[in-house]
Amino acid sequence: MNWDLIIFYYLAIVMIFSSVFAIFSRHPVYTVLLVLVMILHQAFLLLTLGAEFLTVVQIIVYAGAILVLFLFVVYLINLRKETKRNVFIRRASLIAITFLVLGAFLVANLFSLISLKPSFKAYLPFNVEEKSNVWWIANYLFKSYLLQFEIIGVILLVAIFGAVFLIRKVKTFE
Amino acid sequence: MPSLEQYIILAIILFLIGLFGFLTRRNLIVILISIEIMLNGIIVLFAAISHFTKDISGYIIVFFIIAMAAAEAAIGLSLVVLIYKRLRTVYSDEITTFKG
Amino acid sequence: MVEKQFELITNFDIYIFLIPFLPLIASAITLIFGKKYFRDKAHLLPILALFFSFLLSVKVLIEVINGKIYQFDVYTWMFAYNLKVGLGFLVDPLSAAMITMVTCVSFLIHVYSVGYMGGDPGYYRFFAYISLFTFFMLMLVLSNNLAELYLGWEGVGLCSYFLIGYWYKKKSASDAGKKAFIVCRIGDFGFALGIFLAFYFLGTLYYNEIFSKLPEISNKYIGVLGYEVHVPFLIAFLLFCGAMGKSAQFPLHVWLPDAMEGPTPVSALIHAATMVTAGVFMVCRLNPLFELSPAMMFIVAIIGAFTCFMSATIAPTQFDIKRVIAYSTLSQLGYMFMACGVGAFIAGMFHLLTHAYFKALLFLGAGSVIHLLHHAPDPNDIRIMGGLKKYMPITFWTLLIASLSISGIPGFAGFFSKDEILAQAFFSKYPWGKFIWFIGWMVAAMTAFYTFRIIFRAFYGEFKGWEYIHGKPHESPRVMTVPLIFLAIGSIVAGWIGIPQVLGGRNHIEEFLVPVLGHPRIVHEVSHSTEYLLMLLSVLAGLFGIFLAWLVYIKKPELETIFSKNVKSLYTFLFRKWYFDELYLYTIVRPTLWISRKIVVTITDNTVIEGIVNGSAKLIDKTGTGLRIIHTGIINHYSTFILIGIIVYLLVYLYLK
Repeated sequence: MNWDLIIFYYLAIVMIFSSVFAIFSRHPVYTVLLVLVMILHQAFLLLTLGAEFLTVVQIIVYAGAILVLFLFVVYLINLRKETKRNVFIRRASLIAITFLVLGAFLVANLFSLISLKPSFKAYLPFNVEEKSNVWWIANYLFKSYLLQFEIIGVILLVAIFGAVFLIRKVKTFE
Repeated sequence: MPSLEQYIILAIILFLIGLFGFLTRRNLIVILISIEIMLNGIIVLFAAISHFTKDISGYIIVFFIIAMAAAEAAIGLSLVVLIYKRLRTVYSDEITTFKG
Repeated sequence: MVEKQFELITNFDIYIFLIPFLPLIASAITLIFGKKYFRDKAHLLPILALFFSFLLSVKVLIEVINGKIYQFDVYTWMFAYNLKVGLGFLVDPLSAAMITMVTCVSFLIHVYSVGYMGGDPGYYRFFAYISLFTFFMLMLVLSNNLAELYLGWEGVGLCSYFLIGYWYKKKSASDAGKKAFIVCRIGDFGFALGIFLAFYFLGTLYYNEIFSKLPEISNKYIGVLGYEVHVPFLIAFLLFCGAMGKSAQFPLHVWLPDAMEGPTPVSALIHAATMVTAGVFMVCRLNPLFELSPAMMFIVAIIGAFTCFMSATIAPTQFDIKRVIAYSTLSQLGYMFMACGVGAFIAGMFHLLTHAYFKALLFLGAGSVIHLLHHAPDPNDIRIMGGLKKYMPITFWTLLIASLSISGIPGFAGFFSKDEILAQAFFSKYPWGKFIWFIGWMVAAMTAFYTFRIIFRAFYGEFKGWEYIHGKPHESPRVMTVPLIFLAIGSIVAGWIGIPQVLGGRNHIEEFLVPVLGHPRIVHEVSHSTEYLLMLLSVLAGLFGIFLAWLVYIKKPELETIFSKNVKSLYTFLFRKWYFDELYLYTIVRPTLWISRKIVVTITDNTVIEGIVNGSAKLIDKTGTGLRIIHTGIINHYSTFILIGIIVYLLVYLYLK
């Protein structure tokens, strides 16, 4: 019994199906909730890949903050079920074909692009047996990727400012 | 342990699903959610690569992607709220002020 | 006569350079600043400039009499492979005589114009243009190569156009200006072809080099349309086309009578003394070329004779005083060309110099009368004039002197010059000389007739224009009559430089011009008795004309209409100027206008040019409309385009590495 493989297939199939249903659903709240399901399964996929820290971060940030934000906005603008009109824009099938093309292309090429070379040497190696995932990520994050870390902080700051600025009341001249 | 190719196929499928939703749905909120789906596909990709090459860079990238997705969702949603306030609709084919 | 030896000077001489350039500077300054700063004083600079030009011309004339010839280039104008043309000056007896005459007459006319054009709104323009004209005329005369001659040629044509159409708001004036320019252009086209041909065969455009190379082409023939044509004849003929246009000979004479729409001083300067004589000057300057081809001499003589006769028949029928004098000019120009045609170049130039004085005087005197009547609907009409002898004495006496001069009465200038032409025509070595003499003799009688017709109609009898003037007719102001007096003196005295030997004088002008124009081409046995007889005949012809005019217009006025009533068709033919204007209208003007309307306007203007202009605008419009379809406003579409762009980029990147 190859549990790894079974778990992987279960997680993968649920992820794919929930995202497909999320795309095709009529009700926006269903969409968000289905995406929530997808996120949770993806978090567990990360767990099987040996990144427990990222699992927790994903659940806290993505599922806990971002999707909740989406739900807030959905309720704020009072979205109802789209009954009368189409879900998709016109000529969506044309676009679907575009993708299949892109998809086939990516599949055909990504293998050649991302195949592992036997002589590949890790730039920033980590060893799960020695220390935990958190330790390794923290180690490299604050040493080698410090600048990028700070920049991400600034980005988040800018996002806060932007959000507050956009929602302010514009003074109209009476 | 599934091979790297399987993870890559999963990532590509997720990305394509998100892309389809982004290009096809009329509802602005659903468009934003499709972006999140796309980003999650990429997260799977990078995490898998990092696992199989034993290089920490993939996980770091995942970390940054999550943070960036939060920022982008915040701004995107505030814009959607603004559009709703101004144009009373969140459907993309009814927002035609830039037509022509 | 002793052949004179000349001293050739080739250094740059500032005085000669200033002779044409002083009027040019005055003209430019007046034109640019005249409207605002000079206004009514615009005549000061040109008159000053011309006075100094006149003094310098006299100085140069004295030096040439003392035996100097100037020939120098100021700078190289065109230099292309083997064509080298410079802006240069050639001062020899011919050009010295001409510039003295031109500056003197131009100066007197400038002074006259102060009175005649006073109060005209475009006062500064007038003076700027006639100074500019004087500049071009002097450049023409002082040129030392054919290209500079053409420069002056075109320049005087241009100024003539400006000045004929001076009162441009009057449609007949602007039409006349156009007519003059276009008809002259036809001649100038031939002239240009002649210059090209001269360069092709002779390799140079400078006069002295042309004259030294002439023997080379004297026997050359080229094939034109299957005929063998003598080269000197072809060159001379083409150059003569320009002379026909500029000097208004048949068939390009139609512009001169219409040019009378311009102000009278313009008519006096341009169409009597200077521009129209440019053709004669050119033929005299290039006399070695013309003499190489006897056929060309014949053509010159015949055209001169025909023009002379034709205009002398039209002149007695016209009622516009300026038109009569214009036809008189045509006739006298015919005389000059007849002289050139029989080889009497010196006589032709002599007549040119004396004609300048009495013709300018005739015009200015007529202008004096016109100025008096200028409130009339047609101030030039002699039918409203009459009896002005007691009111305008100075005008009357000076005009009488001019008329006596032109009729060839002994003692006055015209007698000596006209007689010289007739005598040399009769004795010419060319076989058509006697025929030319006969025509000239006949026309002398007619000239006297129509000139005195004007005098008698305007100054004797009863004044008929009372309703057009305020109070009594009065003499013109002194600024106008003093030039008349000077010109009258010139009309008498100018002839005394050429008193022939048979009358006891020493023919100074002939001595002076012989080095340039050669000895008269006459047969060697000239009997003095024949010469006296010819002189007597021409005086009798003049007196007969005067007698006839006196008879018809003073003694028996009822004879006046005897011709017009009895021989009505011939009268109409003459009155309508031999129907030339109508002929040209139907054969040339109408077809050209028709072609231009039907073909050129429709094809080029409407289709091509508008097609390009409107079509390019339409193209951009259609492209824009086509591309606008992409802007739908729906962001899903925009995202699709981004995706397509990424796909293209990936493809390019992967497969074109």
